[in-house]
Amino acid sequence: MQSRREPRRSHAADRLADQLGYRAPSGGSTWTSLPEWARFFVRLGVWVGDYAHDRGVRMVAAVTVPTPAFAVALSATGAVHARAHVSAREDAETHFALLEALPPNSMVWYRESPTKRREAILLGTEVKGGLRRAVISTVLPGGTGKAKCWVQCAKIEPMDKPSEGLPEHARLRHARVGMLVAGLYSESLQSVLSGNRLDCLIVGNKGRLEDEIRSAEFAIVPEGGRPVSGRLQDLLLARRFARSGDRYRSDLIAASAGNEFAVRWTPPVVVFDGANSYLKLGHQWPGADRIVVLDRAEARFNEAVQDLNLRYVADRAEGGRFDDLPQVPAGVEFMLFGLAGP
Amino acid sequence: MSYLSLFEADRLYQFAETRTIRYDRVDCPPFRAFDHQARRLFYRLGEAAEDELWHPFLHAVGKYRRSMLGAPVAFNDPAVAPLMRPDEADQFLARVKHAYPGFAAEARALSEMLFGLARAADRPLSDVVHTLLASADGRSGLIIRDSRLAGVVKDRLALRGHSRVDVLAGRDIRSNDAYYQLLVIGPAYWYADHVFSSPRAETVRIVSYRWCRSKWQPAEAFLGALTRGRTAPHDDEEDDAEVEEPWPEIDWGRILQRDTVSPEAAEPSAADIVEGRLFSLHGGLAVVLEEGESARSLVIDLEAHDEAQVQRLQTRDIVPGIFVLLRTEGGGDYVAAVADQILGERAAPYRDSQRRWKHALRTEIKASGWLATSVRLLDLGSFRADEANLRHWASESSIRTRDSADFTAIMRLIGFEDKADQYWTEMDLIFRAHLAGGQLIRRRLLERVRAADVRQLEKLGRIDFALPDAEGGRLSALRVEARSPTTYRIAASQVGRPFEAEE
Repeated sequence: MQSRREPRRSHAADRLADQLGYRAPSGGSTWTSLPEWARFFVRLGVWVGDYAHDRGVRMVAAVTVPTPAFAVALSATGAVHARAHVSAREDAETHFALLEALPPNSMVWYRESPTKRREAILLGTEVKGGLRRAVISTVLPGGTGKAKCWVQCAKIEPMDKPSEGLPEHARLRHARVGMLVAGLYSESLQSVLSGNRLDCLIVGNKGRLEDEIRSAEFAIVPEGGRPVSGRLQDLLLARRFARSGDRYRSDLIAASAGNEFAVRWTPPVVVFDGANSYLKLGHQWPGADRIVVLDRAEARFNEAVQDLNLRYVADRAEGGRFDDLPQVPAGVEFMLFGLAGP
Repeated sequence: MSYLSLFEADRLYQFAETRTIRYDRVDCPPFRAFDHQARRLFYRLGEAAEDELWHPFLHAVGKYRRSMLGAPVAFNDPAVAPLMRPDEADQFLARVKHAYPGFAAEARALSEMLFGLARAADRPLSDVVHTLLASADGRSGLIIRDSRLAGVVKDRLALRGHSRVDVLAGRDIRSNDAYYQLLVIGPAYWYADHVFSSPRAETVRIVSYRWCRSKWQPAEAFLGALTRGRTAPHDDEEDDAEVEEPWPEIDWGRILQRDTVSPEAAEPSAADIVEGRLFSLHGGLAVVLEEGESARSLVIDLEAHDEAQVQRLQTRDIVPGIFVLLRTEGGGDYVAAVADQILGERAAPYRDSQRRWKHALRTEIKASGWLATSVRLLDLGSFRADEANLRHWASESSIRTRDSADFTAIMRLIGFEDKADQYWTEMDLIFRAHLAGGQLIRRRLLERVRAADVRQLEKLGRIDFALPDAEGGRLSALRVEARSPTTYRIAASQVGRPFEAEE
């Protein structure tokens, strides 16, 4: 089996592993390039996320690691980044129907620009002269009290964590886009900011992952440019850690979340954090490409390896030559195969 | 809870890349002779070793041998003294002379070697460890197989000036601390593979006796490894040792015999017998936990996610690596103790009621049998009376039935119908107090686990807590090292009480 790969529309993902930097204790205020193993995980995520375009074979990429720290977060970041150039925009009719179905006076977000949004109340929808518009009530800057506005439907989004009614000063929220701007080409940036989509689902330990995704400091250090600092969340856009109305391209669930997510989510890439996560939900999302990160010290490591080996023997697609695989670092054992069948 | 930084994770990857395994082979002719004699006798005895006559002696020899193969302490250290005294050995040898005359001379020779060694102050493993620790350029960790001896080894090392060495114990060492060197005592195959494949130090030194095979063999996990990382150089020294000494399998039946109730206690009635599974715990302890759908224990699972780290698990789901919460000081059920605090003055009369109806029910079961009793309960209006439910209702772990109709039927059966409403209300209040007590304990544990450095928790085999809002009493979370493959029928009073697994 030869891998069929569409020409990449963006090479930004290729650069990500080399551009990401972190603060080493000895480095002072300077940014240090990621170590080789960390770059491997970013590149692995990019490779799997990019390959996900090719819907003929679903991939299973399994790695054993001396520590799970940052492996999952970086892989997922790579996978999301690889698909940044794919537009998330729904078709206009679907979006209009979504707004029409909202209860009266629902709280919504009014996107003044790709990076700014304001709270509003949806009063209704209308079609005039072939144009679909949303009617909202919001507090505009410089205005006195609430104003009724007619805006493009595409600029209105339901609020998933609504507050109680419209506050006196409808807050203007700014999205953190610094790292995205530094790391993506403008076309991909527009695509990311244009809508939400689940490109990658992480099944894992929220405590540790939250620390890695939201707390650890990283930066995009462009060649010859100024570093732009932030967190992996700025790139990963995990819904679990996003504020209401923030764009998302990934999400995180615990393995104990159960099978309900198997029905609700259809991610193209799933990253499993550890043996427990894989053994519990590894056979869900049959249409997804998988990255499985196994810590050798885990109690159920051998069990997970057995399951993967069984799948390798029983379910893998014949043939299989994979191009442009990232160089595997020392300390990591890596297996990659395509799954046969639908 | 603090997690690894990327820099700290990078260190661990560097260790995996550059790991060096060194073998420090120790010699001691008297111990070698003893070891050889012991193995020879075990081999020659064959099935005869199953004879109960041999057990105390072979157990004493085997345990001493294993301790000295795997712990850097002196031969005459009191912590590893033979389980048999010389006079007891003489009596044993006299019996062997009659029963197994063909083995008497060998047994006597072995006995003399055993007690000769047990008087010797030599400590060859400890001497090598001391040299390695003294010459280390950084922090050292030391791993031994027998968790019972962790405290002892730490003390003895401290006496030799090495009080800052971390002593880790068990087969599956989980630690994210980074060391300059790790000293592993005993053969490599005594330990989980990740101790060597994902080392927590740049150099791992395996310290073992020369005649025991001890080399670590790296193995790949994946059948279809597409590409693999560069293998790190490590010691290619050939292992020409003659002896392979596997860590013995646990004799679960023998361990269970150690957990005996007081000789003065009455033989448990049929109603007090439950199905239990045995677990060996860190530090040489063991516990029996009731097996069954409704039997759950509070555990800490560091590999679980978020709030699931502290949860109630069914016995069948408790696996090695999980910490089981047990009361190690003070008697009785820890949740019941907290529940009684919540009930306050009502605790005593309500518990009296509980004891009264349970006793009456068990008396009825003893007289009529499980099946007949459950049939009678159905006749008296119970919906769910069958043998399994009846066992649960009669057990200490159950407070009340789920449905009041079943409870009323029980009250009718035992002649307490006039008290049915009163007892149902009281049992319900006890039940709610247990729920509240369990939630309180769980919340406190979660706070403790969240506040802890997860790296310390992973290293420890035991975590101690003070009971909330109670005087005295201590709860301990003990790491499970192994679980019995089968269940055993045991007295309900034995459930949940940790005991010494070995002498």
